[in-house]
Amino acid sequence: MIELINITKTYNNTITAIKDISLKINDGDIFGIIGLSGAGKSTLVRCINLLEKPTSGEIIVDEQKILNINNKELLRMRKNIGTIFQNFNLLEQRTVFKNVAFPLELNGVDKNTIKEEVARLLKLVDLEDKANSYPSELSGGQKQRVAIARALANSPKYLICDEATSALDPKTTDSILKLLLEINKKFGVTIILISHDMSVIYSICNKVAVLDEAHIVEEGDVEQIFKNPQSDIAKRFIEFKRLEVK
Amino acid sequence: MAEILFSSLGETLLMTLISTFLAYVIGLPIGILLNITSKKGLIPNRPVNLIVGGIVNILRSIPCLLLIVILIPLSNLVLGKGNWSGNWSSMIIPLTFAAFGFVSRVVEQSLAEVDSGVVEAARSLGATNRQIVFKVLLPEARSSLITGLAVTTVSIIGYTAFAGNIAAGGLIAQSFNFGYYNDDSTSMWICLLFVILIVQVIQEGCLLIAKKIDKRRKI
Repeated sequence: MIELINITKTYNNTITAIKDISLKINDGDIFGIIGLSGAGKSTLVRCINLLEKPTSGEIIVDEQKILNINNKELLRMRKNIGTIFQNFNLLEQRTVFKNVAFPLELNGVDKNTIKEEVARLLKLVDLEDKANSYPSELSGGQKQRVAIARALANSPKYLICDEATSALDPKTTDSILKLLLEINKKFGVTIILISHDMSVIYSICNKVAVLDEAHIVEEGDVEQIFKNPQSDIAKRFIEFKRLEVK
Repeated sequence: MAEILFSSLGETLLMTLISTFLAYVIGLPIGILLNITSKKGLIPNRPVNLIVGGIVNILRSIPCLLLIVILIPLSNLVLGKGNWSGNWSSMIIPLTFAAFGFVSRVVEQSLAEVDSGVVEAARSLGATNRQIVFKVLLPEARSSLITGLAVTTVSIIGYTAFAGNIAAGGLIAQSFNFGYYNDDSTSMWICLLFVILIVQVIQEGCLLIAKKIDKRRKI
């Protein structure tokens, strides 16, 4: 379980990116966080995957307070929280195989085990035939599959998807979401899915928090918020209308 | 003629290659330090960045010709007093000093070109800073580092001209002697032709390698 308690992040004492955010993400959840650009989603992600320290508040991962742990512990914690990104962020000079092997190399895993593990992960994301390709030779969907395999190589308990499908077309988005759902159901990986697209959230999330101007304005079961949104911003997310020019 | 030409060619190559190597031995770590301590680096540290960057700048402002004079005590210490004058080896220390500041900046720039998102991904996978430098920054920047090597080597070849001032030999000094003192422009041009050839081989060779090892999308 990941618990955020009154998380605030301020830059240069002036810009408040997120303010007083409290969230509880239970094991096995696919937890959606939705918000417009600039709402504070990226800052929130960087706090949850421990790349950035909140200005105030507390983060508790599996009953351990993590804001004051030492560097070694912090690195171990990060390995337990995988992240995939909108821009995939693959190592461009490494093959698909070597990209997935990267976290294992960092952990000092021996070569034979790496071979087996990478083969297993590439099979999971259905890219066995691309092991020797370079990222520049792959499509967006394939790149994201490599990123997913790489993130899973550490066997994390949590997986953060930071706008992971925002650069993909609808069909590819569906296949990636299906893969994420499969990872959640088969391996029990808790997923935190950040998006600005309600249809993405609705496809696979069970819970959702709506972020607006650094605050959480609404939170609950996806079905419930979809049926009966309270906040204006949530209403806007599920409303479709044709634009008109007068 | 042929004998002078080949011994000068040998001197130029030895001066250039050894100094380039040493300039990288010193300059590469400094370049890494400048990159990781910069504002957007792995461990931002303004004081360290400013001080090291300042020293590098000072060094780069001193012309190679003056470095030869300033570094006489060091040359005496390393090569033995009186042992090195009039020998190509006397240029190694000044050339190294003239180049390693340049190398630091070239390396710093190459590393800065690595996509910050990739570094972020590595951090999220629990990589240590050391692992990020050696497994992400340097390998991802390899193509740019090789192009930087070409630029550095060619600059050092240019600096070898100052060998003429201390009778340390080399093609450029020899070429000057032929043209200026002996009024032998044919020999001068033959020497220069060799310099041109070396520059071409180094520049094009490095570009070829850089292109070959670069697996990013070719534009």
